[in-house]
Amino acid sequence: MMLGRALAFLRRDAADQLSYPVALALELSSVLVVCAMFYFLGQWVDRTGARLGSSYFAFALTGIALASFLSLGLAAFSAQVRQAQLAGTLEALFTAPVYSAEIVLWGSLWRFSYEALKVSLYLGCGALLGVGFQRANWGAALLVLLLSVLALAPLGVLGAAFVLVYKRGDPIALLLGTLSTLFAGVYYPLDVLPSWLEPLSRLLPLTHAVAAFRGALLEGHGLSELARPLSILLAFSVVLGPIALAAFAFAVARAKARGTLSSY
Amino acid sequence: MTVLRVSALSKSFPIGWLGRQHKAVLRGVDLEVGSGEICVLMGDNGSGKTTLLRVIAGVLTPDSGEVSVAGRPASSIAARATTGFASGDERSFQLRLSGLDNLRFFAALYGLKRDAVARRVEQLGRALDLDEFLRKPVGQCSAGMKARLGLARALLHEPKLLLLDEPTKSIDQSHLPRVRALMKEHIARGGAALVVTHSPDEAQAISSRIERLESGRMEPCRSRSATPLEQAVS
Repeated sequence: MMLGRALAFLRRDAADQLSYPVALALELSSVLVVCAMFYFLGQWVDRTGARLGSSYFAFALTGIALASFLSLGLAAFSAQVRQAQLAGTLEALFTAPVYSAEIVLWGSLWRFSYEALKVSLYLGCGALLGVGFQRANWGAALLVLLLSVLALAPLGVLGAAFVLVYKRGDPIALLLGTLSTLFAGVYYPLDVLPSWLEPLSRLLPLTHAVAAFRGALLEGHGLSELARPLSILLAFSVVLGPIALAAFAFAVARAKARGTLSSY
Repeated sequence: MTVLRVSALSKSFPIGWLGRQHKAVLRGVDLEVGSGEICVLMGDNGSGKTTLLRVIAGVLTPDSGEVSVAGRPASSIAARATTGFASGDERSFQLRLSGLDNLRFFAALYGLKRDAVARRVEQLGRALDLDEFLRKPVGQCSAGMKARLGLARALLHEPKLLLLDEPTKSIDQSHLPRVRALMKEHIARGGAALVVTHSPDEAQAISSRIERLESGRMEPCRSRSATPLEQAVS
């Protein structure tokens, strides 16, 4: 029954996005532009003799693919609540026999599936441009993706709770997106950061996710080598999950009490 | 058998920037609607009719009092599974998707099986004359078409309680008999309905009884003699 509802949300949102084919094509083509840009940047960086354990292009590509997957997925939770508020569909959903958590979780399924497709597009472009994935441990990379979603999703749900109450702005996605871009090692290795920023970097789920994803794809790391980052991601999920669901339930209860569920 | 029971229901909304003051909208409302009954709720603008429907539908929580649908608290999943709500809000659909896709989506939320969905969509499509635009994006449909689609969505899962907020305000005269026939079918199979309308003619035509809300208080019940609709059912 719950699976049926999840699939219904997935089908609905896929059909909705596919009804904008031009926007879809432009969005997917932006992946190619990013790949080309970092390919040329990589040519230049590699000439400087930077020691990254792989080419700069491979390093940046894997970081960007995962960061894009997670940051856009993270923003999807609040974005879909906001979209439903503006479109006027949110209240109708709450009259149906679904748990409020399902509305926010299943409503983000399509975005994550779509972003996962973009990850494969990034990696496919990378392979065409010479990134070697011969050693890649694809199973481990998939597990990293899954656990990254579980670690980041609670923060997305917190953002959705914020939007339900305050309507505009998602400070969590904004803050986490900015901090992750700067300090999670997406575009440059962490050892270029000042030592006093290292603790902040370690607090970001994306730091561990990116490191593990690169390890699995570029160095063929398996579960034993990835045990530490995977455990950290799992811990984020276990600690933040219940807090996020409680916050969302509180936000729904508040909106129902104040009559602001459908207001924007 | 009582399908809807509302007792001592009060609801207020915060007003002002800080929301420290409250405006009472419903004040100790009592109401019961039984199986096979269509209760029409009338009242001036702002008297609390829509608020009452939204509390019963579970999208608003009351300040005090109790609401139950088929013996279950209105806010529960079980109560929502047995309630159909047509809010009259034309924007409550995914406008880029077809009416059929919208109905299928809600059918899945109600846990309807694929063959049951096909059967109900076919029945409701015929009954409400939806067939010609069911495959069109809802955004391209007129207000009246959306109103009929909203009614179809509310009836899709054969609810015990039907909540309708001005269901016929956008519907043309030629389709009114179809809407009334559907209500007749609904109460004939033991369902109950609470219908908000401003039209005395509409109220007269469909109701088993008319209630009136004034400033959030229920006026004494005005039972009616059998309507043509009831006569048709009996």
